[in-house]
This record gives sequence, structure tokens and C-alpha cells, in this order.
Amino acid sequence: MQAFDSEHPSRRILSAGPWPIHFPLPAKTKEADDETLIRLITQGSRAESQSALETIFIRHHEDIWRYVRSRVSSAADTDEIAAGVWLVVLEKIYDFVWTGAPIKSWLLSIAHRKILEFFSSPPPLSLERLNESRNEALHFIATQLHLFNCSEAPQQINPNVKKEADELLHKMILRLSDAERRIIMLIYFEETENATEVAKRLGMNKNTIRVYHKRARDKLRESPELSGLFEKAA
Amino acid sequence: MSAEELKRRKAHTKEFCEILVRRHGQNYYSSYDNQSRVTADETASRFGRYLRAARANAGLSIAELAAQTKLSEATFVALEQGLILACDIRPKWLRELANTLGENIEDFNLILGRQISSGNSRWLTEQILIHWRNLLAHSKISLSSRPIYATGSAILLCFVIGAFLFVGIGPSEQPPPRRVVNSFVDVHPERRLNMVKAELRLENQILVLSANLGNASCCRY
Repeated sequence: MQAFDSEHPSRRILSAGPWPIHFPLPAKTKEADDETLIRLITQGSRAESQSALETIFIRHHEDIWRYVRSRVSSAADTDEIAAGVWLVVLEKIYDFVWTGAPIKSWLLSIAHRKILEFFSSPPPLSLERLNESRNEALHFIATQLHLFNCSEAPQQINPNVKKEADELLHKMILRLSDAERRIIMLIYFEETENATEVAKRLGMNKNTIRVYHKRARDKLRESPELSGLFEKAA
Repeated sequence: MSAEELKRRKAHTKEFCEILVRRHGQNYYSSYDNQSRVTADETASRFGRYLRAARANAGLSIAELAAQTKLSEATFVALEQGLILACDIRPKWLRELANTLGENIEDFNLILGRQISSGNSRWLTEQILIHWRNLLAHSKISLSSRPIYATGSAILLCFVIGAFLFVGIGPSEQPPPRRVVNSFVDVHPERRLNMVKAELRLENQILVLSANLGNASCCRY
């Protein structure tokens, strides 16, 4: 439930006024408007492009951070979401078409989408909800590692569930030996399915890799986290 | 916002800005080959996911992790978001992260696609270490559990045995010099086989012989 403004954890920050963080703007783009900045980024030299992006960051980062912070309860999450916003900016800035709308509105719309993404799986309010999210993460791990006997197509999942899956997998592979752990890491994170490629990466024999892979799969199937999933499937 | 937090926030923002601008410059350079001005670095994203999972399982926040290492919070955020290219991630950072999170640095290298030590040799080393550890555990050899005089006497005994062996194996008296035997028979130059001389001598002998024979036939007839 959203807290009242007076109780909101970000109130102290929001009421403290604008940040007194002032970085000097690059001299070349100090006075440039949004249209000029976009033109410099897409058509200028490397130095001009970097200078323009730096200007956009210095002008708008504070607003983005404060916007995100007003909707997220922790500063650490705010940092993460704000960094995600700038990552999207890096990817999409060359596709930005100037229509007269200020850059700030574009940046805030990205921040808004990022916040929605962050809250797309609301915090679990019940044990059933908690189990549902965890089961989804475990199912994703089992699919990625081809632990089911029948092949299932990899599915698109929520980024938050993916993060949970990463954490669960990291916990599970700590119980494996070095070679087994590395094979599973390559299969899960890099989606490497070819034993020859895995053998090449690890500097080991192909048949040895197959043996270790079989052992690792058996251990993971019998792990306390995944064993319940396979019992249900059986 | 307290002065301390403000200072920290300022440093964070400044450093993040530098990382962002640097990455933008890298995107710019990669734009001319394939016309898409984005350097997609899946390796850095994968490393970020793994790092985040390791940090979450270690129960540390980014601020706590930054406090335990020499890396800044902005660098951690950028690493977890995949904002720093894999080629720019320094081995020193990996060492610090591995030490703090209790991870194996080889796992980080593997995720980043870098060269790792061969699995066989590592496995063999581990097996030898385990074997020696078990041997020590079963034989109850432990210097700390023995009294100091027993340890001292054992060390002294080892030293004496070592010295004895060194003296025993060490350089002994010199063997007598071997008499050099010349395998060649010393022949005077006059008596050495010389084909020219031998032929000349043979010719002289024949002449003398024929002369003698002539004299003899004259005498006979």
C-alpha cells in the first residue's frame, strides 16, 4: 500500500529541496538546447557526442533520481533503476527522433517504465504468492538446464523472477565441484549446449565433460530446491 | 540529506557520469562497421547477473560491498548493469570481488570469457592436497598438539640426519689420476708407411734384383 506523502520514506529527501550537486557543464554544449544536443550526439564528432551526452546527464540525472526515489522506498533500488534508465538511453539515443518534445519527458517516460518493471511482480503478501514466484524461478532454471526429460522451449519471464532464478542457481551450484559448477554456469548463463564448446572453454576432454555434466544434472535434480519440482512433475 | 551522504552522492554521480560517457564513446567507435551504434556486450550483462546473484547470496548491499572493497558504488552499479565492457573489467577488481564475496576468481574469468587454468591440472592439484590433508588427519601429525621439547627434538633429529647425509654424500677424497694410455704406436717418421717411398724402394729393389739376376744369368750362360 502506498504510504501517505507525510509518511513516505523519500519525504526527507524530497523536502530537502534540489540537490546542491553542481557539476560544470562542458564548455562546447553549455548553452545548447535539446535539439542541438541530439544533433551533436547523432551527427557530431566523438568528442562532441560525448560532451552532449554528458550535458544531458548533468542536466537531468537529478530529476530522474528524485522521480524514481519518490516511488521507490530504498536509495539502493533507486540507484539501480536510475542506472537502468541511462542504459536504455545509451541504447536508444541514436534512434531518438526530434519531434519538439523535450528530452526530459522522454527520460521520465523511460524511468516510469523502469519503475513499472520493478514493481511488475509486487512484493509477496502471502506464502502462496511467495511460492508461486519461487516455483516460476525454479521452473526457469530447470528449463534452461534441460533438466526435464521432455524438451521445453525457453520462455520469456519477468526480470525479477530471472533475478531470483539467478540467486537460486548461484546457491545451488555452490554445492557442486569446480568442474561441475563451471559446466552448469556455461549452460545457464551462456546457453552453451555443445559439449565440444564447453570442453574447449574449460580445457578438458569432451567425454569428461559429458560425465561431469551427467553428475551435475543428477545432483541438481536431487537438490532440496528442485527435488520438489520433479516430484510434482512425476 | 546529511553532508556525508551528500558528499557520497556527489562522488557517485560524478563517477557514474564518467562511466556513462566513456561507454557512449565506445558505442560511437563501434558504429561505423555495422551501422548500429550500440556495442552489445552480452558478456558484461552475464557477469552483472552473476555478480548480483553472488552479492545477494552473500547478504550484502552495494554500499556494504563498496565499504569492504576499494571499488566505488558507481562502479558496482555499472558492473551489475553491464555498463562496463568486459574488456574494461580489471583483474584487480575481480580479485577484490572474489575475496569479499568468497567466490572463485576462475568463475569470474569463465563468465567473462577469459582464459582459465586447465581443469585437469587444477583437479589433480586439489586431489593431491586432499590426499595430504587426509593423511595428516589420519596420522594425527600435528605440531601444535605436541609439547615444545618434542617438536624441538624432532627438528634437531631431522637436522642431524640431514647433516649426516650431507657429510656422507658430500665430496670425498680425490681419486688417483688415471694414467693416460696412448693407444697409438709410436713409429718413427722414417719407418712410417709412405706409398711414394714404398714404391721407390720397391723399384730400387726390382732394379737391383734384376741386375743381380742379369749377372747371375751371365754367369750361368
